[in-house]
Amino acid sequence: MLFEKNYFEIFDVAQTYDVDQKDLLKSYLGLQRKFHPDRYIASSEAEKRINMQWVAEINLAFETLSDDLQRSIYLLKLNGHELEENPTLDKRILLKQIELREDLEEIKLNSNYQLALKEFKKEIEKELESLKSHLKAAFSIGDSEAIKNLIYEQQFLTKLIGEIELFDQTPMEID
Amino acid sequence: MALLQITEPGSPREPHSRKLSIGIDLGTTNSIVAGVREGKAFALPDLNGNCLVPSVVNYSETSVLVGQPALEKSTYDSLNTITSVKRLMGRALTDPVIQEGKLPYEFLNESKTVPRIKTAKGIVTPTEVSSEIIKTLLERATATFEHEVDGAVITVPAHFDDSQRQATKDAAKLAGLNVMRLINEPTAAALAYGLDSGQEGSVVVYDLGGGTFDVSLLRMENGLFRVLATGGDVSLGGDDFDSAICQWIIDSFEIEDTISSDERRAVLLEARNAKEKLVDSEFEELRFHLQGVDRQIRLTRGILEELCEPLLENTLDICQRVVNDAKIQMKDIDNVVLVGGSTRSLMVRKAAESFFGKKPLFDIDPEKVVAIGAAIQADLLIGNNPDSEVLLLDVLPLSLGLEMMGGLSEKILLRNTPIPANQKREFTTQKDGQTSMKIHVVQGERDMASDCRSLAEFDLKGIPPLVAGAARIQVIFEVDADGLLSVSASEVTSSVKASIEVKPTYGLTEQEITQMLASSFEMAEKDASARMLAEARVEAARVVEALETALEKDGYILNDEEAESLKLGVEKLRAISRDGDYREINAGIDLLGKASEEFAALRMDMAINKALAGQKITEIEREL
Repeated sequence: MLFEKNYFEIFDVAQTYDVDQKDLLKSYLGLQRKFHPDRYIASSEAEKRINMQWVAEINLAFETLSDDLQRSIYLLKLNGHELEENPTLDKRILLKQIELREDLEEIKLNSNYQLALKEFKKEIEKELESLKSHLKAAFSIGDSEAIKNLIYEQQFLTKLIGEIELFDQTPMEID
Repeated sequence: MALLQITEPGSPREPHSRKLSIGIDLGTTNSIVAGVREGKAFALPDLNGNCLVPSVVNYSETSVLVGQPALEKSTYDSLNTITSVKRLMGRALTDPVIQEGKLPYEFLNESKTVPRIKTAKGIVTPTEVSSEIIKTLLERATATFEHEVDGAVITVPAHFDDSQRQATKDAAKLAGLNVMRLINEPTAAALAYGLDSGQEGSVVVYDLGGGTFDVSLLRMENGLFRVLATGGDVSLGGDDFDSAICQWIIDSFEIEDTISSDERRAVLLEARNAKEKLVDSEFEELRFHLQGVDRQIRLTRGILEELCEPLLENTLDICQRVVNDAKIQMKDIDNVVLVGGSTRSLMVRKAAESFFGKKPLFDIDPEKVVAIGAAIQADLLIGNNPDSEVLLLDVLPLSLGLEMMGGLSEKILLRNTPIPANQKREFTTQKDGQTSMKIHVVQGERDMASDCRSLAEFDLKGIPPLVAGAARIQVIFEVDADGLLSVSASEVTSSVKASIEVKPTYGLTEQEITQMLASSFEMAEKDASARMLAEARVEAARVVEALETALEKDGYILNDEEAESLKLGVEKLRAISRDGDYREINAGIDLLGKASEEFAALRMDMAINKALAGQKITEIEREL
């Protein structure tokens, strides 16, 4: 019945990690053209309600599949696995995370931080890009342990990017 | 002259005539209504050629004045003349905007939620004041087109929160206007430009109005408008420039402690005039007669720029955030659209140009562009252009969340999520045997719930007593295409389901609106119910027609029994609508709505499958 399709099926794209983002967007826009609530202005309230739920589902599906991190978590779930709440991280990864965090704190202290922050962000973005190809490989052979570890890394780096952006936006305050 | 209409034989629809729709820009300082004639959207002028209706309402014992006549009373009757009511929409009386706004009105203190203002005509809420403005705009449209208005699109600032949007919709309802959609002001402005030129690319809309500042980043391609990110400040606008100048004058005269509210209003008006004149001149001499003394002061463009600079800087900071949010580079911005009367000011235009490195667009009057865009969208939604490819995809302006233990706000739906949107979250109980749970819904980006806007608070009761952590409380957030939220909560492990729908705390209740409707227009109770009856009948006819069309087209997917029961329901509603009063009709509409839910779901499912199959075919065609 309604809404039984998984997100890949909704957009009729191959169920792989490196889903083609252009195809995804095209399919999303095609569905919006057909189903957007603006197309249902004259419908009955019952139809409007159902329509709204369906379009909300399309939106959620698109948000999930177009975001690298959300997509990996979702695909992992489709494969029958879930992330652990408090995972034991590989020591190597843990050390790297501590190091990156220290680097960021150091940059923040610098009065002329903008350039260094930009470089640092680029570094992280490069790391995230390379994680994507590792994830693609891990998903294709179905190694769920490897996938999980990669996602933990992805989670950390994504959060770090968020922090960088937040800091970059905060106006300097003089106490 | 009417064109002949040819209907397909057997078609259940009446040959429908062209429907009238309007776009309304409900501004802080001025409001505008626009319509479409022969495919062209334009702002509707009054008999004197003025399109702007000052957003001012004056109440006296015998009458309600709106617009220019009300504005003329504002200097000597400030207690009964409500200006900039938009700032009060959806706000609590305790809100800083009201508490620190130095507003010259008398508020009823016992009302802690919705501000209630004492006037010569009685107590009014901001929603009612706003509905008076809408009524005036509606009358103008009806008179211009000599036709009843069938539907409208109303614009709101992109960052308006849930309460403010709800209050706006309620105001329209009070004015008897059918709102098809609320859209964001900057989006409307982009629609006004985008449709005419059919361009593709990224557009920044910089909207500095009287009371609010908004900036949106939109992406346009193939007739699709996507809002990538929005930002703004509800309490920043040209009025603040005026206030800054006004305060500077008062400080220069050293009369802060003695000035009356009428005098303050006079100084403020003079400050605004001077600001507008300084677009062309280098300085203005201002003269006042205050507290029995003639006073004079010179305002130069240099002083003006100095007074306004911090405010302009604020707008540019917000622009930067929005560009970051949209994850695009400054160089990828193709156009900058200026909106709002305050962008006529040279310094604003210069600031926008140097910040974005592009010459901004202002071919369409920046004060009318929003209403014009709204009219274009309204014309589309009412169905006058069924072949149009244009579609507007909007996003949630501010994150929605729940207050958690320790006062943190847990974000359930993030800002800039495409709408409509649904999200579920599960929570559990803290204590053994806990049977109720406080649900506090907040909106905003800050970490602490107390720093966000409180939208609604309610207790979920009837949770079965279980050990701590065993109950599963599911909270569902639903945001519709207008950006309006409804929240429901239920306990899912047990068969007992407690669930509740909420309306914003700072809005009016459904009951209050019904009451206001009944007592509005100085109508006798009888007239009011006649009007409600007429409205209920129109709605019932609409429901009947929609369902019959659907049954005719897709009725075969139901079994005979189901189809028969729906047809019976239709007949029943028809009968009630003939003989019943408005309450009975509305109850009948709800009943039939519930009965046809399953059918609606089946039809939607069929449409989805058809759409997917359609996509596959295109796919194959492409590959061949």
